[in-house]
Amino acid sequence: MIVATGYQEFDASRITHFGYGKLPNVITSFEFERMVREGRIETAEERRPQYAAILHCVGSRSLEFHAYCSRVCCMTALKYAHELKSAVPGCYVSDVYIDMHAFGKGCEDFYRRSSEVKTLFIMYGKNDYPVIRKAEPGDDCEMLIEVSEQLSGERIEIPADLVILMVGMEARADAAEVARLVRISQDKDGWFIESHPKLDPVATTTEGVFIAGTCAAPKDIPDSVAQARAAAARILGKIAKGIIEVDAVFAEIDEEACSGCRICNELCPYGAIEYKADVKRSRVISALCKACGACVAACPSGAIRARHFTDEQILAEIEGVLA
Amino acid sequence: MNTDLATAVDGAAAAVADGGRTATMVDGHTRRSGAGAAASFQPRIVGFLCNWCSYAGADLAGTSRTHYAASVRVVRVMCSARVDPTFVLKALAEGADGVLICGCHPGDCHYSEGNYKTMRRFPLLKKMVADLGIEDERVRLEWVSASEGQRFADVVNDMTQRLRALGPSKIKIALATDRAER
Ligand SMILES: Cc1cc2nc3c(=O)[nH]c(=O)nc-3n(C[C@H](O)[C@H](O)[C@H](O)COP(=O)(O)OP(=O)(O)OC[C@H]3O[C@@H](n4cnc5c(N)ncnc54)[C@H](O)[C@@H]3O)c2cc1C
Ligand code: FES
Repeated sequence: MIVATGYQEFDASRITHFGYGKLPNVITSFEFERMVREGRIETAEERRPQYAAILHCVGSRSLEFHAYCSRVCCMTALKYAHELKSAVPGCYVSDVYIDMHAFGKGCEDFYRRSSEVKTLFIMYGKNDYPVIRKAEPGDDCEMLIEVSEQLSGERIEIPADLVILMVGMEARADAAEVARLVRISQDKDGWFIESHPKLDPVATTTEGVFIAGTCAAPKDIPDSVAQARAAAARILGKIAKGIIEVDAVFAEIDEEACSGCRICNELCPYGAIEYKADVKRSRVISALCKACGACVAACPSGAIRARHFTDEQILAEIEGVLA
Repeated sequence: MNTDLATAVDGAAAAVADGGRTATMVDGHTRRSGAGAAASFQPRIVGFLCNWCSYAGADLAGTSRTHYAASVRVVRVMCSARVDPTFVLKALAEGADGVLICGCHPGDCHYSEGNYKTMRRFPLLKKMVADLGIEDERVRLEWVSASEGQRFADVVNDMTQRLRALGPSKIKIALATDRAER
């Protein structure tokens, strides 16, 4: 099974400084995408914006909301600047950012080209949110953005008719439910945890369950696609073999020692212990056993052995760690 | 239950039950530790950590370079339900000052319900420990997820502090005296 449930966008109205939901011309990146798709980049008053501002890291890289970087927004913001410039000739575009994360193939080059098309880059401080307010009647713009500009150290105001908030990615509200359903774990931010971040990034700790895309962490489309293909290949690799190899870690019952009390039968969450009525003994179906060891700890006759986690091994470990 | 251990545990019970002799031992022990020892005493905790959540959580504490008391010695088990009460008693008999069992949060056990079994067994274990004359605070059950490196560190720190206040465990010495006198 591949889990590829993706992300959800950060709710921009949580940062009150930006006036999202109150100022009609403050929109999210998702709403801007829709405008681009419909080929109509305009303000709520159906005017062409003369001044546009793109605000980075909305909900990301913040002490209050998400500490992590959402990875795709910086480059997407630069893309928007180009789109604005070509769709609305003469439009002044300000790019209000904290740090520019132009990682990966061709991205630094794209950043350089964005500066060349006269995008105005303005740096704001982490957790020192710019404040967006409605302009006064005399101003020739819809809104003013007040920013403590980091490079000059000055408090400045930027005119804007349209403000695009680059909302970050966050784990879906129902991610915990999904995690519980397929028995995988989430990290502190709610992203699904991979079996190993470097060596096994699409597998999970649950056999047969793989993760791909942004459900595991923020990433762009190429990375999501690469993961999805890797996950599919892992599954095909398993199926193509025709047989499934299971771990050598499982429980075994010593039939000589088993008293046939059947306590273990009820304990097994996988129904991996069968009772053989003819000999009045229980037996583990090793292919079904997942090796939790609940039965081993419960057997009153000490008849169940957990391979690789035997009583002798664990008792020796206890002696070892206390020696 | 492992028979060797059953004897050991019986011995512990007998030794601890014999108030007078144990008291001398305890006195001897505390005196040896010296004044102000409570602060410097480094308890030894055996931690049984389930493979899927708590062991990963402890690992995260390590990879995140979290600082916490160097008092816990970890024994990995597949699930908290694998922790046989025998293991806990064995650890105490071998000189552990405390035993920490950590598993996935309720509802999150890799094996669905192993931790519920642990949860049900634990009060019995605590009672058994208390019946043997051992302070039941020496055994502790906590839920630590794979993302809770900090929580693991906090639990270890907190337990270390409590064990410091409680002082070193007398069980191993009591057992040794008991064996010597038999
Ligand atoms: C503003 C913005 C702009 C971006 N622009 C770019 C860009 O220009 N270039 C780029 O490379 N990347 C860009 N990205 C990143 C890109 O959106 C992601 O990398 C990509 O969408 C991740 O794909 P995914 O399949 O992991 O998740 P998603 O696209 O979120 O897809 C997950 C799917 O799973 C479905 N789903 C969720 N839960 C369940 C469930 N329980 N059962 C069944 N279905 C479910 C959802 O409905 C959804 O269809 C941008 C991101 C943002 C926020
Ligand atoms: S696997 Fe963690 S408690 Fe069962």
